[in-house]
Amino acid sequence: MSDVIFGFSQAFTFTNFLAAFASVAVGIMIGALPGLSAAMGVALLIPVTFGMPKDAALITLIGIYCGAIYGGSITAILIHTPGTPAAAATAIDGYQLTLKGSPGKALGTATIASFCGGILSAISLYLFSPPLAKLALNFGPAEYFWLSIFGLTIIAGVSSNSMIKGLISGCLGLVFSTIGMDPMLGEARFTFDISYLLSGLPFTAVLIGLFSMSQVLVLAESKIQKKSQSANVKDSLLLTVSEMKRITPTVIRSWVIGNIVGILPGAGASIASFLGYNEAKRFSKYKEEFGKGSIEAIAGSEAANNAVTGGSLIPTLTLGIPGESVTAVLLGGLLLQGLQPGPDLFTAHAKVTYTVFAGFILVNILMLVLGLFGCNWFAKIARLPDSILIPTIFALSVIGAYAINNSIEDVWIMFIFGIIGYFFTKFKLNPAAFILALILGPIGETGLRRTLIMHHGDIAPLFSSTISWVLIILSLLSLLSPIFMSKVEKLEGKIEKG
Amino acid sequence: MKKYDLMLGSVLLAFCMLYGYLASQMNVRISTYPMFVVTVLAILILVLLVRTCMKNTADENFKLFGKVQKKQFSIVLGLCFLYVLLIDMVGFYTTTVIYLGASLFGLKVKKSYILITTLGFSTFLYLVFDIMLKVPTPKGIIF
Repeated sequence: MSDVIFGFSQAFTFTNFLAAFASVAVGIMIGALPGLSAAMGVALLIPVTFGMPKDAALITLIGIYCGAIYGGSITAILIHTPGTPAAAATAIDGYQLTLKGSPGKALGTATIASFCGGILSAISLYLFSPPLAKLALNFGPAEYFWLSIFGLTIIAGVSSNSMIKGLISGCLGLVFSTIGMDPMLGEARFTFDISYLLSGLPFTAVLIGLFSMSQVLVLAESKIQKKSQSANVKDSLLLTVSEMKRITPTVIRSWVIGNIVGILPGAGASIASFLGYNEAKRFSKYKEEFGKGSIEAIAGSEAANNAVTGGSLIPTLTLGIPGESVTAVLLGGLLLQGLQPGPDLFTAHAKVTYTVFAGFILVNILMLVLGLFGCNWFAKIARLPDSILIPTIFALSVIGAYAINNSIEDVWIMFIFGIIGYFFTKFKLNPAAFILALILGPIGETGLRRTLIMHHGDIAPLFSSTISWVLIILSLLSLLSPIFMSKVEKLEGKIEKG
Repeated sequence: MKKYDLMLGSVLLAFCMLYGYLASQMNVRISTYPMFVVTVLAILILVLLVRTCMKNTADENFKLFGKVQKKQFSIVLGLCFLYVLLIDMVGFYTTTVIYLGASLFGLKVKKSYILITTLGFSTFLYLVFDIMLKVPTPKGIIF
């Protein structure tokens, strides 16, 4: 309890407050810009946070994450262009309200629902993280091997359009993770006598290349068009008491949905928002308003996608299994700060962890304030043309890749993986699965080989513990998850068609 | 997409063979795991190829790079390459100013915006990375 209180006192220090404020503002801008994703924003900002204190650095990355998920709703509502895929469901009714001359009401609903979803998800973060982290204390090498397999199957199986391509992406990541020194014997593998490669591929440079530079190339391949003029918000963003009463049950329902979807790795904010929307419609007394500008619809999708943020941090921080691509990138930021997911975060680094948790709450409060007072301004930023975004994002990618190790070789690696990332996008491979495999590969390999060495090559100990079997079953279930996901996608299609 | 999936599968399979060959040249104590991983990858690629071959050809006219603005894309990629190449020789900030100016010009941005963005963004990078984070950016022959 003392760590929790300490966390609150630390989160509100000037440095952390400033970090939270700036990161939420930047996150909202990134989210509001169609074509830029939350994962890209976090990847770009990791190098900036490298020199910061651990708590401020992580609050910054979480601020970008939460801000970007919310920011997507601004352009979804004002110009019918979701800034992020998570805001696609919001665009349906949000834009209808804008057409009816009430963009303020739509934005106000989205902001309040996002805030509630985010804040409520903090409760699960506080409640579920420590016991789950304690579970990791029982993990031996065999369990870590199966954990890495589980991590790979979930993200590869669920977040890609094609499961086989997701698995191929994950396997490619495993292949690239073998570059460098052998983790057990220290001998060089696939280094071609280049000493730079002995420590393996620079993780942050690969990350920036795959998520940021590839986006530059994706933007560059399309004809640059002038972005639509957004509607001016003239009506009030504040909701009346009766409107608040009307959206409250929806927000609570969507919080539960978003949290569960967030904790279950692989699904992500966009799926949660459609589920939230659908459940809002199912329970609403005003079903006929859906698709024509319903505030319950906006609240349903926005509360759900923001509730994912807290939920998805739980498996990321406790087991090192990110729920979606943004948290996979965020995990990179955590490792770069020298923090390992698991029980240590709640014992040796408890003060930092609880400061970050309190920072998560602060970030959501600031999101509410910035959203209510600055959405007009963010809407203007969203009109920044791609012709300006392309060179500025690339320049940031270059300095970001360079800044971690002050190495020009890292910039070249970023460049190469930027091109690889572009082809990943074109061929519908999954960069998040690749990155996750790059992180989990050495953990899995060490776990497997350590188990085999300890038992003189006998594979039976890999299957000897209950935790191993639970992880094996979960891995198999996650491979079956595409069946569930195809049903959700059908549901999304139905909703979009109205 | 069928044609492109076959292309993807073939390229990845060739990569697997090269990687497998390189792994086979290594000491067996350190090559077992890479060989295992590449075998799994090769199996997955074969599954992709078989599934793709069994698909119907409804999307025969689909062109993966059909809508790519070739000239614009080449300019952007070329300038990105030159930027990275010249940083170490010329210096980070000088190259950044040239890169931003050239890219914005190539992307047909208004002259006034080119000036504002180039100077404004370069100053922003200098303040954040040089002054605040103290990153020793490459100086090269100029700055």
